[in-house]
Amino acid sequence: MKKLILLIVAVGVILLAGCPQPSSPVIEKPQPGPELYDQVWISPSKVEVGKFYPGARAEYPLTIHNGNDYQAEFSITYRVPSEAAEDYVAAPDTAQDWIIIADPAPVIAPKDTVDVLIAVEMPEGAEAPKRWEFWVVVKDESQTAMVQTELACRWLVKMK
Amino acid sequence: MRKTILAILLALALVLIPVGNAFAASSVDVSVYATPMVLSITVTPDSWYINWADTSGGHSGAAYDPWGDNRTRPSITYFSNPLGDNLTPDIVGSGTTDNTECLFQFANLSGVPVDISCKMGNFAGGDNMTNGSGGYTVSSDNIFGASAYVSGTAWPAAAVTLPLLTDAKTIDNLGNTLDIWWGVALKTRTNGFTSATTMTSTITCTAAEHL
Repeated sequence: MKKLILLIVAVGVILLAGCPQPSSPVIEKPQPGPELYDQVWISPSKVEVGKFYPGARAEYPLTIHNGNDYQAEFSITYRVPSEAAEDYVAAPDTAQDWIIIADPAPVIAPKDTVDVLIAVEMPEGAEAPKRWEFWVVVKDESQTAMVQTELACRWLVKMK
Repeated sequence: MRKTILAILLALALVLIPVGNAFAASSVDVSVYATPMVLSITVTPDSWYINWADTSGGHSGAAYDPWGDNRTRPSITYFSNPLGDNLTPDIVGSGTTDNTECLFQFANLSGVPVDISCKMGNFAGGDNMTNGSGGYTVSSDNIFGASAYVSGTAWPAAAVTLPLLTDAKTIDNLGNTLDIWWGVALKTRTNGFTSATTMTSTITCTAAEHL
């Protein structure tokens, strides 16, 4: 019986070693200077996805800092860029349904920084250009003046 | 003993079942790469009171109300020019727009150069005035047009139409830690205003890393 247990454990170890596991990107935390403590900022400004394919998933956390002296609600939205990077085209219409924003309306305490997971999950059988781009746009919804600003994280996707 | 085997098999099954929820990691073989660059911009000031000598923001004096009546008229092109809301942004005569002819200033606080794209919404409150997306020379009944101009560029050749819905690239490749002056030209609707109620609109400017 002991031999049977050892055999099961050995088979399990072999299976684990050979089983493809989901990969996690190495996430480097932003290092903003002290002058940005009182500002709204996001990071990263660009995410590059490579070897993407139908049925695949890619994710990366978006860091948002609320530099206001008050709690503020932010909106995080998907957007098709009006102008894509060189050699890239704007995301296809269907791509909107592939984007997952873990919290599209985070409420952030004053001077606080939060991470919101962004993922792109392409369904099996779906089609996309060889290289395509979409934006994830962050807006401080507490802005009330005539001129308001937004910050866009560019996602550049290269298909396999 | 049987319980031990079952426990081992159950543990193996739990480990080997692929994770499939919304917070799963990236798929195998897919590469995801990002450098933790910070993106941040500011705009100063953040409001333009058209033909209105607003003293609260320090925008007082004849230049902000050249007609001297604190009201907006139909079929007039207004400029957010600190030298005068009725003066085109080439009045200084250098051939291009100068900083002194621009009300607004973007500052790029990011670690990367940025492009800034803008659009302008319809006016709310008072009379109906919607953005026809035709630029600062085009207005009609209930329709206004607006464009942005940027310091250092030719007026009117380089003016950028401010559309209602799409983002129009207004600033190209603003270096990190740099700033730039800019302004807005706006032609009001052709039919008269009757409500005497304050009207407001929003210009939304989106910054993205310049690639």
